[in-house]
Amino acid sequence: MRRIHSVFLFFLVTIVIVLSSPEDGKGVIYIDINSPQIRKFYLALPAITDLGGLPHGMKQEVEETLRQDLIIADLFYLMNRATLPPQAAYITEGNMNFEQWEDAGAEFLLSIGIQAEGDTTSLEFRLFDVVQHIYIAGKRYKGVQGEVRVMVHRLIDEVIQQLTGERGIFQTQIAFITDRSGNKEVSLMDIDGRNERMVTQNGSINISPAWRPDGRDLLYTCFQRRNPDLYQIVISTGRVTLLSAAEGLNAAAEWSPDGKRIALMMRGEGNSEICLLNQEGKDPAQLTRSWDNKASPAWSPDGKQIAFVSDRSGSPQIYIMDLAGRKIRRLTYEGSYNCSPAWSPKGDKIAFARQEGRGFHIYIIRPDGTDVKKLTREGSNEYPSWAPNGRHIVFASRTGGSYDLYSMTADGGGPWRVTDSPYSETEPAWSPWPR
Amino acid sequence: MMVRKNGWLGTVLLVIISLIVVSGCQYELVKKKRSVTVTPEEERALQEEKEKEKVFEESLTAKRYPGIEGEVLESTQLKDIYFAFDRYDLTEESRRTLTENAKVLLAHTNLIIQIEGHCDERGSNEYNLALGERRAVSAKLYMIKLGVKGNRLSTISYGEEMPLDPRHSEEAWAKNRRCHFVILSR
Repeated sequence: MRRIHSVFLFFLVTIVIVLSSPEDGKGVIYIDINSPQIRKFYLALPAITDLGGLPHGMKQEVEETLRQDLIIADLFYLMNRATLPPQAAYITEGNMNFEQWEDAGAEFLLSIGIQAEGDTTSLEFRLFDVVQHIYIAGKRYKGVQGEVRVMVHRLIDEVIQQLTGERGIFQTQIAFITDRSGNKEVSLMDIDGRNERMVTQNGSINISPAWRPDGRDLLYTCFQRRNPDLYQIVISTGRVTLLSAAEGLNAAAEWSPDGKRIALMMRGEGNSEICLLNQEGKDPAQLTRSWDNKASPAWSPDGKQIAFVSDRSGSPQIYIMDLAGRKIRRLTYEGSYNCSPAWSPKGDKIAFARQEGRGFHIYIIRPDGTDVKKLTREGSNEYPSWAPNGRHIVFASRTGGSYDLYSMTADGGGPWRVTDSPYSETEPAWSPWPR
Repeated sequence: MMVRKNGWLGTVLLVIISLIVVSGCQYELVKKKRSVTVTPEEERALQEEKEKEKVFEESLTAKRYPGIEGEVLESTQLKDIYFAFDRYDLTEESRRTLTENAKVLLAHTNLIIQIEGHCDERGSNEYNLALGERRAVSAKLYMIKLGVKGNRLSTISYGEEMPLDPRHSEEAWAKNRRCHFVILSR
């Protein structure tokens, strides 16, 4: 427990300074990430400038993190540096030569400088619209040396915010299940697979991690008491509460978007049913009552509907219940095994896993049943979970031995490897936005 | 009046007490008589019973699951049953096995059993939790049909979380789609 404390009590103290305020371009949305096919833009990222005092290796670490984030953001063609105009000086709003970069084919230019002084690191960027000759934004981040990766994530999130009008995902996290200790534990990492820290360390079987909408707690199911019981753990303190211990099943729990209710599977009459609990895990209310087996409730972001799996047709298929009238309609008709529904935070898509041949693939479908798209091609892929931007999806994939986690976008970007270990990492749950 | 009533009551009590004493003596006599004259058949049956009990005792091993509280007993006389992929109906072979398992429970009436439903790794582990529950309930209902009292049979689903064979092959999957029987108390 002490170890958890020490890791989790760490949080970032960074000072953000807005560099000379740009006049034009404010509030303009350059890239619409909600369009079904995003056009990627040509981004010039000149070599980052050492503004003094950099310790060995820091520049490279910043370069690598920047590059990885920009690739995963999947909004840009990163222009080959060899073809970029020669760089005489550190590019700022004062000396930016738009024509030169426009001639080179750039649409945006991101200029980055970094400076270290003692333990303090100062990272700054300037973003330019090369086509319209506009200085879009510039900010400087100050923090301690060990935080430089986090500062880069913040910087990229800001760049994405400036260009798309929506938050970037690089300060979010992914909870997942790992079997590295021989059993299954809940663990947590940054979305680039770095900075991993264990959440549970109880030596038991822990499954189905689910975030509370405020990002502070995780729900999970654990077999410690020889029953699949529902627990809640406060991430910052490691404090564990037993929320629901009904005999049989307390599994696949998901917080409602307003954080007031929990949907989960509980034992019915020889089957499993979808039930609701309040936020203390009390007051169970049975939502479904029929002979079939039901699993994996997934809330719509407006909290009015729940997608779930049922075998009432003779095979697992996905259904949607309207909570107001308890009306149920079938969503998937193709395929003999559809499972793990995950409702996009924007509400317009549901991701799920479908069995095909010897393995599974991730698909998306509109909640009205139209526009089915297959997103994965290789290996066997299960457990999709949406990033809060409603565009990125993390999932578990296996080609030979163990499962690893990958991310991709719903519009065809990726997949990008997140974990690379001889152990199995499964059941990823992408965190909500950090508060 | 009071004296007469008391005297009558006393007589009744005396008769009841003596009856109890006499019947007790007779019971003792009967018991003694029985214990001394055991027929050879009875003797053999008794011996067989003892032998069976010994064999059953020897079939037991204590089992702890890592990360799960408490200890259960496994008996080699309680055999696993197997299922097809995404199915929970009982095969002919499963029914035969369950009949044998039920005999063990009917012969040892103190046993409290937990039926564990297990699945192979394919499909979501949450759906598999539901499927494992179904498998355990299938076994439970059949054993109730065979005369085992329902309150001696609890069920738990481990879904795909406790594979017997951790490999990713058809052979391993077939072994993992099972119901396993453990003894909670006896």
